[in-house]
Amino acid sequence: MRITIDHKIIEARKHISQEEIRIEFETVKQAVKNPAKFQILYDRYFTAIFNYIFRRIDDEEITADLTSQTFLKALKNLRKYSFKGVPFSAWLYRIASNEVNRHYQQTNKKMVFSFDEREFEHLIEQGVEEESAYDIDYVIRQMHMMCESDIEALELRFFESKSFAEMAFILEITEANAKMRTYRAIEKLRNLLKRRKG
Amino acid sequence: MTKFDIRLRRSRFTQTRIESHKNYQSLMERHYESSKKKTRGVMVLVILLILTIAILVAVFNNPKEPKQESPKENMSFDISHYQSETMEIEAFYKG
Repeated sequence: MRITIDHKIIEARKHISQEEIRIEFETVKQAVKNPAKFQILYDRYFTAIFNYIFRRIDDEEITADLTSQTFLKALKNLRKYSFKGVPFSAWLYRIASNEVNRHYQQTNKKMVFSFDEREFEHLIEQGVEEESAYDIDYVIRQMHMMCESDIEALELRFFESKSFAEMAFILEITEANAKMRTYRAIEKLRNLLKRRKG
Repeated sequence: MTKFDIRLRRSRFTQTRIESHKNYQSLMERHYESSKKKTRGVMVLVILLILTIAILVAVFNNPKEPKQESPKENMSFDISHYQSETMEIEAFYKG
């Protein structure tokens, strides 16, 4: 199967402003006092967290369980949440990531990255030159040569449209490290694809 | 052999399908249930702590038993019966 990269298809980034982040933090504070208020955050982020977990699990039922577990843990530990200048969703992503890792540790299964075809096109856009055509199966085979942390960084940056600050918070690294990890992953992908061209 | 597998999905999840897994009521029930368990656990711990303290207080505040006096230190003899015998003899000779 071959795909042609159309650079006009660029997804709109879903970044929220600092003001919105602060308003959201007020909701979190209200939810600490009254857990019923947590529903606002639950409704806002359920789909995003579900999609994120599904991308790492590729099983609908397990994803539903882990998503529920993520929100339950968030609700339990809401008092411990402290404002770090990133959206509340970053904290949820961090919990979700830990839940996914725990799931793989417990089941001893091989980790999965399940990408949507359109999302994948967007990722390849970042690693190749304009108007290039690539065999998508070949790209996937090449990506197996990359390490897990590189794929994770690419996933957060290009599929979840996370800022470097959010990535740093989710992966529990510094912002500089998040940038470095992402650029290094893009560079690796680019080199792997160039090898094919050469 | 790689530690992970990359798969490609041709179709996306519909919002309705994701919504079908949403259940805030169940989440709240689980939350309250775990809160109850936590409260019970804390109560058991507090009771255990109080019991431990009570036992420790009882052990260390036990009033000391009076020391038994050693016979060497107190060599007293009961001589009352000798005195009464002497008095009887004296009365016999006088009488």
